[in-house]
Amino acid sequence: MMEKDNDFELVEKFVSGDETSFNLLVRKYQKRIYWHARQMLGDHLDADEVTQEVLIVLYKKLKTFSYKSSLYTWIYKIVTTRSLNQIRRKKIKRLVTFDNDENREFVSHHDIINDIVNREKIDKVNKALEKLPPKQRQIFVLRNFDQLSYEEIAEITGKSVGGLKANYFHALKKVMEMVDEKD
Amino acid sequence: MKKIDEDILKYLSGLMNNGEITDFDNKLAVDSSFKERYNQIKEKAGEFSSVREIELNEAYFNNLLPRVHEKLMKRKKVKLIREYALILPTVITVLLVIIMSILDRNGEIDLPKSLASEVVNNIDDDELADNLIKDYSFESVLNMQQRNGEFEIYIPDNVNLSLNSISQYVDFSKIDYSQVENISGNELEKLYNNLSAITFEKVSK
Repeated sequence: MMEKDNDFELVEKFVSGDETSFNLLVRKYQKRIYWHARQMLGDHLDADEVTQEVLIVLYKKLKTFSYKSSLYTWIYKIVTTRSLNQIRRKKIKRLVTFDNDENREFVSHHDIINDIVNREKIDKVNKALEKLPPKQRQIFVLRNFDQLSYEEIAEITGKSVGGLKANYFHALKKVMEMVDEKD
Repeated sequence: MKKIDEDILKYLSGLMNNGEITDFDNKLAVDSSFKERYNQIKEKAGEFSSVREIELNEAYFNNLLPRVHEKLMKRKKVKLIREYALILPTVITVLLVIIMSILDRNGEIDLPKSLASEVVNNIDDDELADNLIKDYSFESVLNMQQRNGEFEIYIPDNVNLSLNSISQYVDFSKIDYSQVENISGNELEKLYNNLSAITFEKVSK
């Protein structure tokens, strides 16, 4: 509750012209935004692009924030929609250019995970997530990584809690099967 | 996937109803191999969420806000350029309209002449003569004197005669109206107004 109150206060200050409030909001949410985009998109460069876009949208649209939901669900709504759009854009790009992940090496050089063990760990997760359809991936990421409740995910995605549970179950099942296959 | 694994995933996903949850919890309490499998799956699922704990390069996040501000500034500039790009054609259009209207005003000098000739061409001679005689002293046109055996009429300056008063002496169909072409713009405008008034009267009748 404190977090929510603090968010609303920062939003109000920013709307009335206090730019530093926006900076505080960015510092508070930038990692969550980045991680969600990263898990959805699978690489740093795309996640970086989406993160920046989301922050720009925040800057421009915070004035229209209606306080009907918490700020972080509103932010998740933006970042998850942008990530899905980026996936679609990439798919189209791949179809048009016949690009077969040639830039993977380039991407890994620009990663912000320096530790090799951790990078391998995240690569393993990404490979499993890549196999999920984007909407299932979205729910899996929101539930498993962002650790949001089904009610919060329902608010973000506009889907029913029952549907979300079923989707999460199928996603979890697929991911487990892939892990078992590798083991 | 085994049925037992599926049940565990259902439980973890929250897909079970209250009765199924109770049964599951009871089985978990008494069946050690079931509990072992449950822990294995839960651990694997947890491995995915533990990715969040990976440390990221802080320099990236320290640099994120300045980059966002820089992008915002760039977009503001682009927006400004776009606005100017809209203003420029508007200014050009306004200038063109002003220039055109000035050119039109210059063209107005010839307007009465062209209008008058248009009316003169479309009106019968009697009407034209009537108006010429009413408002203008056309001595040269109506200079009727006995010359070379022909009868000519002389009308003094500033004397306007109506068509009726002289029609008994003059055959208007033989009058040379070519001089109409030589009259000034102001005179033509006056003539045109008179002829228009006649036409209007005719139409209104």
